[in-house]
Amino acid sequence: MNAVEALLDFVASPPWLFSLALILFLAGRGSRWLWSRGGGALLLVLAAALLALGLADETFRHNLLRPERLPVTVLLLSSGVLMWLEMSRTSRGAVDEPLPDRGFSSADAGAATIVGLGLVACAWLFPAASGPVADPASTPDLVRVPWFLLALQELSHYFDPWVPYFALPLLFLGLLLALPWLGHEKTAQPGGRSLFLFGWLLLWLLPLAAAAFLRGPHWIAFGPFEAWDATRPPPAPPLAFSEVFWSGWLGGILPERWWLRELPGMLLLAGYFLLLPLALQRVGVTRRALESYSESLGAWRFRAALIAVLALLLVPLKMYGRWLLDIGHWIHIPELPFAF
Amino acid sequence: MLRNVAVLLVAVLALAIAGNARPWKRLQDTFLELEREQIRARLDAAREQATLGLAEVEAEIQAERQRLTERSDEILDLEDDLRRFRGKLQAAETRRSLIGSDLEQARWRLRGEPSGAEQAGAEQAGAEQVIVLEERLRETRKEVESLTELAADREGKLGAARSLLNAALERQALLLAPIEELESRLEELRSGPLPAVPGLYHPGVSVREIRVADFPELDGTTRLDRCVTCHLGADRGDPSGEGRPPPFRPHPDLDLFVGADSPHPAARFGCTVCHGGDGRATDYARAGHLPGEVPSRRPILPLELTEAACGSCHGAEVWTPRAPTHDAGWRLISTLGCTGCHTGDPLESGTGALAGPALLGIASKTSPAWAYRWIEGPSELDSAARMPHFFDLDSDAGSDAGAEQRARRRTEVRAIVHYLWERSRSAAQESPPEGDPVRGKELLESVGCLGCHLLDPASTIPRASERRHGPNLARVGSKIFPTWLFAWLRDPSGIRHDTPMPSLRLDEQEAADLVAYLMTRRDPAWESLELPEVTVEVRDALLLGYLEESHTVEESQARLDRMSDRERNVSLGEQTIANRGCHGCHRIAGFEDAKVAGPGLGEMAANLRQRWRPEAHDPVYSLTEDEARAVTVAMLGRTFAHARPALPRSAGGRSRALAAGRRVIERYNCRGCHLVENRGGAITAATVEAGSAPPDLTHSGARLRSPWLHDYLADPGRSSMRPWLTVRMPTFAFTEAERNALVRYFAALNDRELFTVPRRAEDSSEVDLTVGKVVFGMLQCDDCHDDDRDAPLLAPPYHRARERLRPDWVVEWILDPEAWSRGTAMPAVFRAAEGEPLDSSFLSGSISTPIYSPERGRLLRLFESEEDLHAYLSDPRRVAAALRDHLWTMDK
Repeated sequence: MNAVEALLDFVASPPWLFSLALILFLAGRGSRWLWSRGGGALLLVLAAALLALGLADETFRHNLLRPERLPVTVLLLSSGVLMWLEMSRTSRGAVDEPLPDRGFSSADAGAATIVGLGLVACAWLFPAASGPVADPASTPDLVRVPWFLLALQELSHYFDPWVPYFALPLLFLGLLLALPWLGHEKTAQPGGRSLFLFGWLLLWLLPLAAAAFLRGPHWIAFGPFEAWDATRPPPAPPLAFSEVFWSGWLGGILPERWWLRELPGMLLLAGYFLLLPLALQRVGVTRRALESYSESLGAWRFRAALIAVLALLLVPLKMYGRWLLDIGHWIHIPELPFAF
Repeated sequence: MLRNVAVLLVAVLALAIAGNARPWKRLQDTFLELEREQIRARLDAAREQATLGLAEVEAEIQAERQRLTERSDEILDLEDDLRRFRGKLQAAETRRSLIGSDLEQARWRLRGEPSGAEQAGAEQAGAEQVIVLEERLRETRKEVESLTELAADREGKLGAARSLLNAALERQALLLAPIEELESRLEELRSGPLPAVPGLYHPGVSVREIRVADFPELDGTTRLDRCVTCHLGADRGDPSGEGRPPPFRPHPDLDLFVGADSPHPAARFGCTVCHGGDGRATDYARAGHLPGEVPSRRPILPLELTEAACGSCHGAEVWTPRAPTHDAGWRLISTLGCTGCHTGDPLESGTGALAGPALLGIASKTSPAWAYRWIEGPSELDSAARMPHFFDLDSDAGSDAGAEQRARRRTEVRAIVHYLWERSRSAAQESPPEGDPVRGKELLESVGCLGCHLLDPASTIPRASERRHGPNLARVGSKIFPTWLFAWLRDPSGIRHDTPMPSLRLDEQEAADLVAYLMTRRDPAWESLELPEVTVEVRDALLLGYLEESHTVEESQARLDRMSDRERNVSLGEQTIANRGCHGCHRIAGFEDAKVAGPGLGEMAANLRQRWRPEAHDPVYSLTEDEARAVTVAMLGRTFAHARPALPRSAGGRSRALAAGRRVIERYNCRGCHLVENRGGAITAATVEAGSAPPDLTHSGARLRSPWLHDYLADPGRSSMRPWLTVRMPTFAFTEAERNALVRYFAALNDRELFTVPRRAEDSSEVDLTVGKVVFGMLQCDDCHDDDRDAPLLAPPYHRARERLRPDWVVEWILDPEAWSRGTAMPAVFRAAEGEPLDSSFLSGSISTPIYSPERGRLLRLFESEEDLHAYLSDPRRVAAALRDHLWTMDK
């Protein structure tokens, strides 16, 4: 059992967890068997086995059963179940079947209802989690935001706080305000559901789960079966892309002028948002898909959607940059200050 | 739809512009422009000043650069190497940091690995990983150290090659520093990181406020004073001297108010605590600038009355530093006797005595005719009279004016005189012997009378002055009987036990001479006063009115019918005195325990409107404009911020001791003769010759021992410290509490302990005593200080020093007497001239002369070497201490 736990601990580290989740997501999008009864049964057994294994371990049990984690657990379980049900229903047709024209899919409604009921049940059954009297001389090491913002807190590990706490909410607000002008075509765009599920599962639920269960003191990643050890040294602080570029790759010293120093990062981002779409529009496979989007959405909505999608995909790219190259900021200008 | 959006947009823009078009924003813009102009002017001046120096330095820099150009290949190689090494160093340090972090993680994992046979493999792997990482870290550290060394070497060589250039560049930077500072300040004022949008947004324009909290003198509320939003630059002087326009003028007396180093920094006190107004408003009218025109919750105090705010915190200190109007008002309230009727003064202005003289024995003092005229209209007899007018006031007019009013007034005043004379106790008073008015005049002008009294009937000295503490003696001969005056001069407190007039310890002849002189001070107008007769009908009508207040009409008439003429006069007089409140200022027979129930002073202050003249119904004091302003200021000060019953909460023992002492000093007018806290000594200008003024008391606490001072105040006549003075220290009728208050006051004033352990002669060494004795002889201190000689004493006798003086002060006095008493006759033997250092080396020279060889021999027996002796004599402080020690052996 220790070997299994060790393996699970290893896999639960952020890079492996995300990569595995991405592979499973892509595999799952293309697989119909996973959404059949057999697949469902397998998933259920696996989940039950993991849960049983976990509950047998004191550390896992202690973590999972903390009252403030319960809403997250309920959310994850209910999302998982209802997502499978919805995928199972739609997989009988094409993978990217148009969304039913109900304005609010049954999976969403079901998940929201169950989560709400679950919260009510938690509030009724369990007393509010309260800690000891606040001691101004002692600040708890790990200060978690409320459960519904945990995903943002996890994202703040990879982005400067203004991005998850200001830019993203503003973007969400903007998109909400723009809702009347979005999606009034009768059919959904191809890939729309996949994109939605990618964002929902991998960029919201997964970080939420990681922040809820896999982050210990100093926001260090701990496996589900690893005891939280406050003496564990934190990893080295990440580097700025300018350091990697000038010092690591070119072997020189960092320029003093900030605009020169951060030029590689700025060019990279500019290239990503400006040149990459142009390049994609010229490459065969993506060219056709983008053309069809452009025709159906119209020029401005297409551009807005493209930027939104690129921004969405930037999140995992930045995460991989952190894991593989130890790059924390692609642009870091303390003189202004600004960081991304 | 578009139209609606357009309308909304226009409305929002209009609101935004209107919201930005606030007067304070325009003012701040103006101020910023003024600041920019000033900085530009200073910048031009700085550039001009630096031009010459810069030109030289730049020439030097050019020359150095030229020289370096000749070595350019070498320099370029060094720079390339340096750049390369630094780049590698950065990369190596990053690698070291990452490896270090990995090593920590690995070590932690190794420590945390569970033990057991099945984990042995994992532990082994972990240990190997740690070893590998440690080796890599070691190598990286070596690389870092080597690169650091190489970089430092190249830096050193470059530095050496460029040393002259760098020095010149440093000098250039120093010359440019003030210019750059001004330029950056100008840049700051121009804009911040975002550009300014004129009329809409400027990063430097914002509401500014001072948060005044935790202010122990106030009631604990937090104030927000936004006055500095418009009154910019108030905390800064104006070095340009051109004067800034309002509201940007610097606050006056920045060393006292507002300045960061002042006792009242704006950051702690804010603005409204002194000026009033509504601190939170940023609008001119709402802030309270227009109290009469715009209703405001809290109007700003008029500028002329700003000193009232000093009273909020300092009022109970009696003397408010640098608030002369407030102090004058306080003094007027006290001397004019306001507290006799208006009790409940939260600041306890009264000095404890009634303002006017006792009238218990008036019949033996003056004539009824004089008393009548005085009561009827004091200022007609003496324009500076403190006694107010009680009659001929508008409130007395009633429905009829003219003859009836005059008849009523005559009758009432006559009745008062009747009463006073009826109840006057007459003591047997001996007639004075024959006196010499010429000697009397000399005596009056020299003994100290003029510290409290004036002799000039037309004097314009203000009423609150120390010289008017006592009555003007210009016409006293026409007022007072010589027998009474003689008895009074011999023993004032025997006639009035609570009089502030002291005894000058006059013998019989001196008193007779003074009486003889004062009796020559007459005024014919005063001597032709007549005592009118009572108008019976008016008298009876008035008396009936009084009786009807407490009896029925019939009974009142019956009582009146039963009274004789004399009884009616006396009764009316008694009622009138009670009605007018004469006993608020005078001790009158039959009114010893009566109090005048006037509205409390604190209550009046709280209701006071800010007017030039206090509203008065009874009586009229004929205050001048300045006096009225002073009283208004003092009254307002009682309740300006918050009414306060006593000293501020933050006041400690020292403040209380000072306040109590100052009250006694005010009561007895010590400042009439002495300088106290740098004010007073009026007698010096009036009579005293230069060099024979009463001593300055400012340092008395540092100088005098408390027990001696206490005993001296009880009986100054027993010890004459300065017999050369003609002015006498009088014997005051201090109570024990007053004496103690004075002693504590002086000790507190000079921050000295009240009592110290007395220094004994045995505390000094033989060396000190011997040196002291020798130097005492060398400096010939006997010539002035020895009272056993036949020659007159020119300085306080030294045999009293030990009982009288504080030992530490004596040393300081000997070292530098001028610092303690300017113009003193005591020579500064250890300081050649002002500003020169102390020097006693002349003693070292003198002791070696033949005339002092016996003394030298005596001293050498006590010192190990001659050098030691000379070293001792060359140390002024040691010599002064030795002198003091010798003095301590000389008391009788």
